[in-house]
Amino acid sequence: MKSNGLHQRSTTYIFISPWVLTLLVFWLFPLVYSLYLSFTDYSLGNQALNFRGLSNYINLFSDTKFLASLKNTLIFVIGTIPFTTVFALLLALLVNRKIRFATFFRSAYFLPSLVALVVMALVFTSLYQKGGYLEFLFSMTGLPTPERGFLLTESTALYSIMFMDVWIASGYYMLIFLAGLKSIPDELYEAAELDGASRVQQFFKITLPALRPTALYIILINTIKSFQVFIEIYIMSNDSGGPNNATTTIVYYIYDIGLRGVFDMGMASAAAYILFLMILIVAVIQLKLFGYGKATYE
Amino acid sequence: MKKTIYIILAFILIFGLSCGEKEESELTFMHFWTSEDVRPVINLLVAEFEAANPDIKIKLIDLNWSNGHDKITISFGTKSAADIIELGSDWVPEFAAKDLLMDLSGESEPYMDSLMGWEAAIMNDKIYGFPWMLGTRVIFYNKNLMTEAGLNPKIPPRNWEELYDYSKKINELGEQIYGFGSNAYEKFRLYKKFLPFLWANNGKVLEGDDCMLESPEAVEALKYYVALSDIGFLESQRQLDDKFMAGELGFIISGDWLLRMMRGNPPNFQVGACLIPAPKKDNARSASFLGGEFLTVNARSDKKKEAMKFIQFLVSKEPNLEFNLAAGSVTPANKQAAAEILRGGANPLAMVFLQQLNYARPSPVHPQWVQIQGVIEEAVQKAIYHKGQPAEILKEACDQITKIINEE
Amino acid sequence: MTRFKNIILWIIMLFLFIGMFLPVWWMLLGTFSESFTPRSFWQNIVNFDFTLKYVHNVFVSADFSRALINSIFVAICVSIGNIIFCLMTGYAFARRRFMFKKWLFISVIMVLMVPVHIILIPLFLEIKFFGMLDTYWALILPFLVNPLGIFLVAQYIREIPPDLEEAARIDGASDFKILFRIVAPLCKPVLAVMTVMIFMTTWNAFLLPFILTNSAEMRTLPVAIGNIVGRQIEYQTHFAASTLATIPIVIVFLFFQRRIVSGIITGALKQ
Repeated sequence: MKSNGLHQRSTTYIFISPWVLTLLVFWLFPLVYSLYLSFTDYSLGNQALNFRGLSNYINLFSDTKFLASLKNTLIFVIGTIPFTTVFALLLALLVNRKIRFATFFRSAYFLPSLVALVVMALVFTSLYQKGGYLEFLFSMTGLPTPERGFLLTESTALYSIMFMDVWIASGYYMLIFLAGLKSIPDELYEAAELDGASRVQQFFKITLPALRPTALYIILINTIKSFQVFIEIYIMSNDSGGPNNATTTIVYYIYDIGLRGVFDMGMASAAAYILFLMILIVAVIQLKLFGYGKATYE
Repeated sequence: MKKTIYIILAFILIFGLSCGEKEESELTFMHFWTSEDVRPVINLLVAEFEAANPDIKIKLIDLNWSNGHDKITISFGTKSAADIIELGSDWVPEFAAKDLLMDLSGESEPYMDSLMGWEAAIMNDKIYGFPWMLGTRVIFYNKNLMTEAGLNPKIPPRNWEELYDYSKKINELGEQIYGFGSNAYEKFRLYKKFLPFLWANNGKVLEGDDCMLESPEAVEALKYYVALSDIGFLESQRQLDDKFMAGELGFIISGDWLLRMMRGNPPNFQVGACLIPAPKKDNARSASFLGGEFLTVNARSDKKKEAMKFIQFLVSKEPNLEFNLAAGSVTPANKQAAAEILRGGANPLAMVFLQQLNYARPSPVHPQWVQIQGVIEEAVQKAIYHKGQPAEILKEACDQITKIINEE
Repeated sequence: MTRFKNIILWIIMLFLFIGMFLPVWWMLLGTFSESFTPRSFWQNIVNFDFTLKYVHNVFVSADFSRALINSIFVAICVSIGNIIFCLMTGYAFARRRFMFKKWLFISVIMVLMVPVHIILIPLFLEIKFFGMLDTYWALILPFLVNPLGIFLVAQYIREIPPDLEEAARIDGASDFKILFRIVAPLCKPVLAVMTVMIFMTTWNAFLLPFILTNSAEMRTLPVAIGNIVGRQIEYQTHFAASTLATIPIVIVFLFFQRRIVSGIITGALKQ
């Protein structure tokens, strides 16, 4: 066992105990409890917890609002992740050049992602508003502007929020790509140069394959985050998921039925579990495709 | 390195423990007044009360308007709500219907005449809250824009037709200038803007347990509201208030918070206020939404007696006046306090609020009101976006409301 | 030729910089300019009219300074906790064998995927049961071990050759000494990344602090800002609150940025 540096020692259990405790107390217990809730009719007026079987789950799929939220969430995930990833990679390649001021721009691009999402959503609401700056830019360049402002027109509301998300997230993931780029040994490029490979060839033969784990990490984390999109929606739709449910996502739906008004925790827990399952399936597929993290536990 | 960590850990421990202590005998009060001009007054009132009742300690729990409702819901749902809870008028029936609030019918008996606004807190002949401050909505208008549009700023719109025409005229003043500010969908807000038009047209939401939204009066009201919204500037209340304050909006339906905003940041134009108009018909009268803040007692509280003592203190004349003045409200629930404000020769805008109060009514008291108003708001939104004819949309809404009512 | 190419690159970078920074400009202009208009960027620059009125508004309202102290305290505690505990757990995953190792590692990744709304109510009930509602404990204890932190640290340590540790062990060093004296210094880059990340998450967290605290004395910054935003006031005050809340996190970033950005990070994300 010494060969791969793995040991069995008594302190191991001390080392892992913080995680085990956190896992049991703050994750596993709440998860099991809410799984139980998802089969009951726990709500504000009714705390008797009657068992309702699968009816919460069945009711969800006949609720048009929930179906709309499923659709919007999928659009959000599929429509943001490729753009964020590509844009972040391009930014990283740009600031990785060994020219002056590159370090400055690197920090500058990352800085906006330090600002809280709540704040960014407020700022963008102001930029997007009817008669706001973006509309001004659009009309200056001769582009058509939506009649009711970007966030209050059904066909543009969700895409406007997605656009903001790509804008902000790119700087953050740029930094992670940069870390990946830095970890590619220079010798590889030197060797390729000797072989007469062009810049483009080097990029596809060396850089891209070397960035695979970084890209997967980014995609995985971003997928998990995007499936749970909430606060942008909450602020930018004026807490309505509107117009006409055009921006209702699953977590917004959970919030709407679970935490206020009817406080139907049973139904909300069921919806949350469906979301959890969706994320799990997508993430497992991604992990399987790339075999990431496997080495750590084997 | 190691030492520093130990020191920090010890620091955490001490800091954390010292803050973990709690006094058992505290009377908790969930309230919404965190701003710098109101919170000190609340603190003063609490201090005054505590001085008079040394055996009672009060602990304030701050909420805010954008998500205070969520927090109240969660705290009720997890059996950890405060002893006294300030509730918006619409929320009283919601929580009362689930037996979460204490029946205050007996306690309120001696106060029936000295306070106003009880209607919103009555359900099934029981009273669940003491009115603390009342609130209503009026139309604010920009006198300068009216003059520019060739209208007499001394004569605000007197009926629906005039409101529509004037708005249209102001629209023509410039690209960024709009006549009417129309509310986009915000939960718990949109219906307060539509119902005044419904009521002014002698329409109703409910009669007993029957939905009345299919009536011709209701359809007419929605049609008018959609027409007004079509020529208006559609945005959230916050943006509308902002645009109005920037002098780019002719008419806006808003509450007394706008008075407060103007106090801190006086606009550079003449502001007028008038009643929300009714249609040009013989029997039609102005109507507005009557809201307000109510003091309720948690049904699970084990300090009901102390809670009542504090509530009675808060609604008595002087404290009520002090609080309402600080909050910029011109409509205290205590009649003597209201008279005091009138006597003080309040500004003319405030007078309009008092006048509108005569024509204001609370939303229908019904245990399922939260769901019902949700349906109404969705319907109004659909109509504004022209997702169908007002008649069809209202019929659909009525079917949903009937279903909600019958489910129980 | 290279010079020309560099100039082109600079122009592209500058252009992107202006674009990506637009929301930040907007926030700053809204905070500090009396004559702010949401309509035109250009006009805002030309008519810039410096004022501290909105900043002042924020400071006098909503116990901003107390919230600031709370946020700093909580974020520092959580960050330190994570540095210690993620290092311990990550090290165990990378170097040790133990029961259920595979399942525990899967649990780390699974927990990453849990939407916080699932556990919100049960967590609230639990915190209430422990009597920790409205205390610093509620804001710190559940967040002391971040699964993403474990994941990053474990992946990083796996890349370090174990020779140094072996040597130290032969010299008779204890396990804790090895971990905190030998492994920890080697892990500085990944710990820096993790710290910034966790500090940021903790700093910006809204929902749980909002639910788990009640009194004004326990509010964190996002909750205090939520209180300001929830009121009907000019939204330039919101911008001012936002700007003030962002400054500390920028300072933290600038403090760590040499470590993060200058490329020592090498290998943090290697497979």
